[in-house]
Parts: sequence; C-alpha cells; structure tokens
Amino acid sequence: MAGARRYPENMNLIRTGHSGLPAATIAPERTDAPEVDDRADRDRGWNVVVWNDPVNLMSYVVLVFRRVFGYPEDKATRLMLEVHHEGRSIVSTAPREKAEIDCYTLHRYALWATIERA
Amino acid sequence: MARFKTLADRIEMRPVGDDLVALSLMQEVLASMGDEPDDPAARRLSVAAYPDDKDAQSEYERLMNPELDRQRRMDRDAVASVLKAAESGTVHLSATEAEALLMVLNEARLALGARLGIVDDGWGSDEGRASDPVALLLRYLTGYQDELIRVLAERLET
Repeated sequence: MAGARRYPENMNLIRTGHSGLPAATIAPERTDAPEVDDRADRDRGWNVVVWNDPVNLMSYVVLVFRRVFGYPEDKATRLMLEVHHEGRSIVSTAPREKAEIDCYTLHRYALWATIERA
Repeated sequence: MARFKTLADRIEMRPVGDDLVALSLMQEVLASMGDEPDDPAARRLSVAAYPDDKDAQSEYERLMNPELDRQRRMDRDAVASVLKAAESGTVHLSATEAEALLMVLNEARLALGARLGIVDDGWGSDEGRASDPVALLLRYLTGYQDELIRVLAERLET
C-alpha cells in the first residue's frame, strides 16, 4: 500500500455545530508526513459510499448527512433516497485521508460506509 | 406526552411509559455484544471500509478502530449517566449527551436487527415477528429514536 499513513491515536471529535447543533467532524491533525504519495490517488480521489441498511431510519440517515457533511436538507434527502432505492450512494469524494476520516465519522454513526477509488 | 422538548441550549428528556425499561434493555443488548462467537450484531457494527482490499482494511483498522471503540465506550457511559438521572424524572440533555443517545440508540437497533436477521425494508410490518420480544424492543426503540431525530432535525433548522 502506498504511503504509511499515521493518524493521531487520540483523534478529537470537534463538535462545531450547525446552527447550534453538534456536528461530528474530526480534526485531521497529521503527526507525520506521508512517506510516499501516489499521484493517481491525488488525481482521482476516493469516494465514500453509503450502502442501504433496512434498519436505519431514513430520517436518521438524512440527519447524519446534514451533520457530518453540512449538506442542506434537500441534498441530504436526495442522497438518502439514492441509498434507499439504488442500494448505495457516493456521499463524498476527497483525498484519501479525508475520505477515511469521513468514513470513520459515518461508522461512528453506524452507517454502512466504504471507501473506493473515484 | 412528548418525550423530548427543545430548550435554549438543551433538550428536555421526559421518560414516559416503558421508556426506562426499554432503554435499560438497550444497554444490555450492547453490553452482550461479542459474548457469542460470530455474533451478527458485533459484525454489523464493525463495517469494513475497504471490503475488497485486505491490506488497506488492516491499515484502516489499525488507524481507526481504537478511537472508534473509545468513542463508543464514551457514548455508552454518557447514556448510562443520563438514564441513571432519568430514574428520578425529567433530565436536560446537553448537545453531546443527545448525540450520544442518538448514536447508542442506533447501534442497539442495528444490533437487534442483525440478531433478527432483518435483510429487507419490510420488517416494520412483519406480523410474524409481532410477539418476538427482540422485535418488540426494536420497534419500541425505533419509535423512541424517531422522536429524538425529529427534535434534533428541528434544531438544525433554527
């Protein structure tokens, strides 16, 4: 795997709050520069994919998308419906470390999230 | 009677009906995860970020899992404190406590769904599970979480 990545052992959840509400995001502090960078990774980025789960409430998924990504309600709802009807939706595309942090945050909310090359 | 009410900087939580019993059972469900080998509940809450790349997944787990486990323990501890206080009646949740309750409720619901083997969206109207205590708990927690989500979503609008 290209590049030994090292995230801090103790990542702090920063609750910045959209309109006074906590928004779970993580400070992307790096404790070490990557040893190797992969040009293809930089160019194409990485998709964070959320998969359908029959137990998660639609309203919960919308709330999580709004909290985690700060998406407006209509975009969060559109992505949720894509998950529901198509089985999956790409909810963000970012450099690998950011994609992993997004994925981690979605796992905190127990959404079924994976990462794939864009 | 509403279970949750928005205050200026807090959310009022008022236990009604069997709420405290159900929430206590919720804690038991989460505490029991991993007791049985190959528990589907534990598997559901341990999602692979890279399901098709063993090396990338191993590295991801090394980086993320300790913090994920720590955060989940903190959420459950926060909820335990809230429920202890709620034994005396209404409690006022901070934003962090409300967030923890939201997440813990979802973890428990997913755990119950995994143990019930739910794989499609029609489970809510499955009459065959009407008397199954696990399914009953799932339905109860679903209604409870739905009320909390509504209050939290309303706060996003303001």
